[in-house]
Amino acid sequence: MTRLRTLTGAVLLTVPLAVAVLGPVLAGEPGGRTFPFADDGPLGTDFVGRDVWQQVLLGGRSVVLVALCATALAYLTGIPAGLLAALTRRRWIDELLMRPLDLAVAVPSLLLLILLAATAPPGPLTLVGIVALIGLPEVARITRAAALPLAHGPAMEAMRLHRETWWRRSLGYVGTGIRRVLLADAGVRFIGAVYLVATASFLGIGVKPDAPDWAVMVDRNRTGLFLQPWAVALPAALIIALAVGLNLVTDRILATRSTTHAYDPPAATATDNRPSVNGPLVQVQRLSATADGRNLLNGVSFDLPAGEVLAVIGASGSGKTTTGRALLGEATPGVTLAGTVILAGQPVSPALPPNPGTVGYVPQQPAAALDPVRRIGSVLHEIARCHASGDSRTARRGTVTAVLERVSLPSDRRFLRRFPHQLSGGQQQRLVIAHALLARAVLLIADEPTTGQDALTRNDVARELTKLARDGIAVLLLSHDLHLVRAIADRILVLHRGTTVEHGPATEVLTTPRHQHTRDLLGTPPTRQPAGVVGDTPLMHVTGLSAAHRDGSRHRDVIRDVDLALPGGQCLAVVGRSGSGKTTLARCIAGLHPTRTGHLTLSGHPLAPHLDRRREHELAAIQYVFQDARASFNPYRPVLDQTARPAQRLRGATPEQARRTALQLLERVGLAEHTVTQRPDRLSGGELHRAALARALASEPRVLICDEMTAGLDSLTQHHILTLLDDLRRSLQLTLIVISHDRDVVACLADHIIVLDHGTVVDRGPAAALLTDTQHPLTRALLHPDAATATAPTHS
Amino acid sequence: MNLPRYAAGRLLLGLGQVAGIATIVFVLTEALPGDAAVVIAGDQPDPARIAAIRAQLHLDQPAWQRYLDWLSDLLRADLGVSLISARPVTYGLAASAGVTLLLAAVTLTVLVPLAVALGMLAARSEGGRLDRAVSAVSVALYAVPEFALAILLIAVFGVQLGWLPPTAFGADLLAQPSVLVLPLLVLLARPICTISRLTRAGMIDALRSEHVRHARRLGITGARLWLRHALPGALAPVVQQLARTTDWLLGGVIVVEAVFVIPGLGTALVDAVATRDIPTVQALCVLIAVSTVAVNLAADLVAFRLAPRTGAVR
Repeated sequence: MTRLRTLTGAVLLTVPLAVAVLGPVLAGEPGGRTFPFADDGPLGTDFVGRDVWQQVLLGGRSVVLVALCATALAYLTGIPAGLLAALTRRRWIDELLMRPLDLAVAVPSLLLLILLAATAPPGPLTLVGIVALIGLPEVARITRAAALPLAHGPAMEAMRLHRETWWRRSLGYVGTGIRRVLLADAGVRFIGAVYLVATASFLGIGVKPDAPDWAVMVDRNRTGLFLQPWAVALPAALIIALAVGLNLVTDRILATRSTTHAYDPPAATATDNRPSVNGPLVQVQRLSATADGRNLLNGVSFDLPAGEVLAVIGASGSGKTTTGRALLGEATPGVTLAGTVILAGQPVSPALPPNPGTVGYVPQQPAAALDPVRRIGSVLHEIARCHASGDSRTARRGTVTAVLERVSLPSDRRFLRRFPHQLSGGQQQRLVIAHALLARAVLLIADEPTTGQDALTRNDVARELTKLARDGIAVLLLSHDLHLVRAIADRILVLHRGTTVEHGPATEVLTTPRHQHTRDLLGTPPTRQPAGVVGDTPLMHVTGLSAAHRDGSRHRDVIRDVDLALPGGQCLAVVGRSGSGKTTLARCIAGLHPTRTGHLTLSGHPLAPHLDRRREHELAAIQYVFQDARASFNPYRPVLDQTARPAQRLRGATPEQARRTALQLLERVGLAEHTVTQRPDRLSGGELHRAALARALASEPRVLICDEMTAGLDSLTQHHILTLLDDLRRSLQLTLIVISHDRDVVACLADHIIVLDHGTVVDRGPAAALLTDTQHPLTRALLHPDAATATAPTHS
Repeated sequence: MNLPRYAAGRLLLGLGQVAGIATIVFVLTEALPGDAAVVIAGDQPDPARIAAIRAQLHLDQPAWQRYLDWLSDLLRADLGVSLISARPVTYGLAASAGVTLLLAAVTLTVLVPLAVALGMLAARSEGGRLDRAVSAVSVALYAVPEFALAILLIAVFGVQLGWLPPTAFGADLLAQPSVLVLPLLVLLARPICTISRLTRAGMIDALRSEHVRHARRLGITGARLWLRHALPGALAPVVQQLARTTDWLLGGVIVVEAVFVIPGLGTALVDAVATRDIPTVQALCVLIAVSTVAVNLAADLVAFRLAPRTGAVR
């Protein structure tokens, strides 16, 4: 079908294009005029007695040429304007460029066309200018929108940290990034130009009244439609063929190959006839999953009785999520499942999903499961109505209130009138659980419920899930958060590359793991080695640092009056809840975030707050490793190339020297040459974290800032990175600033700890003291060795 | 950000846009070559007579003076006097605006349910025969200029078959609704493509989204799932596109009016520009600009409600 469509498009496009290109050659000398609308010549004569066939041959050139030139002109002016607006860090330049363009977009294009055309003499050049002017704002806006995330993302910041040249940043990186968007847009833009040029010519705008042009012919010969239909129908048909052909062909180019899969509606069954079953609620036998000949799951079997918590643990890619989704009767497109899953006595498969409501699923990002458009109360009542259709309104309201109380959410009217985005991450998670409870779920699947959460939220999650299990609901926990698993799991299943390597009661698996892989997974994080040679003179001083975020037009303080002294060769850990200002503090030190007040000194010399004002050796001395390693690399250049640039730009090394340095460093972090000569998309997440580390070290920094380097990694990879970091800092005499909310990371690396809350330092001291014995309740809650039993201070 | 706050900010921006467009219009009409006084003087281009007409029309005053006068008149809703008919601009425009509004209203009434339903049907049978047919037709039809389509329809239905009147020349639109059928078909062609495609894409995304799957797992199915859970999320881009269509219907259907001889705002604009009737041109442009800004304001507010998390989708 698509093939036929493209073929039709190509044929339709060829005819008018051929006429437009070859027509003027074939037309020959214009003959003399005879009577209007007469039968002379192959197609008769037009309104002034010219030969229609000749006019048709001549009339295509102007439409195609004018549209082409106008599109080219719009791009030549629109792209620089959009790029400038996106790349500039001065807000007023952006505003100055984009506001008038916004205004121009708000005026209907034909209105603009008529007014502009009336001010200039008619002719093809005028038409080119006008059509380009109408297309220009859209081109500039698309360019800016595509370039903006690139121009301010981590990859750009990483390049600014080693003062990459302007050319490589703007054209090499942003230019390559927006190329595809602009190419895709060019076809659409050209179609728009053809439409506009033809319409303008038809209205007699910007063309001479007797010009040889298809659109003009249609307009002028209309009066003779009854006498001489060819003079109107042929040019009109050619214009339509041009437009339709262009659109069909462009659409084919734009269409990405998407796998279409039929969605099978869930079996409509009554929701209330739950068979009472003896034995375990969930029985999974020899569950296997394959995709493209690769085994994702290999004969996994387990039982899960009601009221128990089964934790499925394993490294990333071990098949945890596939297992969870199999219980929902869902499979990612392209994955085939085999084996049996029995839930509450009924078989479950993608063709036969579980009874609606029996299984609740809490995704890693709970916000994704919530309808962003509807107030939370309305959805809760809808679910209640769906599962208790007989109840009265008041009874349903009572049910909703009771369920909300069970998950410790308020149930007043004001809360129910909120939208999901107005809730915190923890509240969203509990709301999804409330949905499942309302639907009378018997099994709850929680997918990585604590990833990226601070210790306090993690405690809440643990408490919530334990409570559910106590109420008789079976909980399947998919996680690599061992603290959480230790705290709540009754049984543990360890997956390794889709195969069960260990399965048993939690206490047994945790205390006496039998399989080597389990031992590795459960292995205690690398322990702290005593710090090496420590210079006690502070390397860096931060005094009275404040910073703000711009929120619309208002400024919100994120860092208030922070003082720091960073001793050389030691590691400072910055901890705090999410949103406490940890990352902003680190970015201020690196010069990536504007400071409001405060001074920075490095070895006694004052440091400019903005990185563009810092000298090269100062830039080289402080480097930053971003949380999202993948986003911090330019996807269009080999990793090795990017790792070598800092040495070249900041150390003055020749390309050859820089390349050798980079190779040594990459080898040091465990990456082979054949891996790093590829582009970043060929490397795994863990490999890119290592590469990011190597790149930061290429300028031989004295201070290295690591922002949540291990968040979202499984425990094995996490331990490797921690060991590597500890090793590097000893051998290279690095001073580290580590931002983390993971106690293991802090315990492994930190010599000193500061605790941030709402942008101020609430607690500080030597790591040993803060980790074991502290008075401050927030510190205790964040760093207590057993996260699940710590008491959280009340939220302020 | 809550709705009233957003609405207030958006309203201020809209007022700024109207002021900006008014200025652009004044500058452009100033730049129009040709002189209304010469046009009015007509057969007797006597310099003294032209000067008298110029003085009478205040054309001898400096541009900024006239700009300020014009703005203050605008604020008092005084659109000035037509140079050609010598009657207040408002008289002439009222009739044209009525015709345009009628055409726009009829088009939108047919368009919205039809396009959204088509889009939803296509999404329902994603990859099926209906979906492929709808998408092929809409891709093909999208870029066809209205005049070409109109001429073709007239040639077939108006001339060859003689089923429908080829133009609305001199007809009373309300008394003789058959004259509206062909213009309506032409007006629907492009918007129906964009809106059904946007609805289809939005519905397919929405049906795959985690929150719709979540609702389905909880036992919400059928029409409820489609209309209450999936559709609102799919509609945000549709509303924005609908605003553009409405703008176009209110100000830019010049071609359709010209082909079918319908005396609407577009025809009035073309005539006014041709005769250098500056007050009418200015009034028309301001009218169209105000309606554009108002429609977009309304669309942004609806989109804000449909996508409260991201704010307005611009």
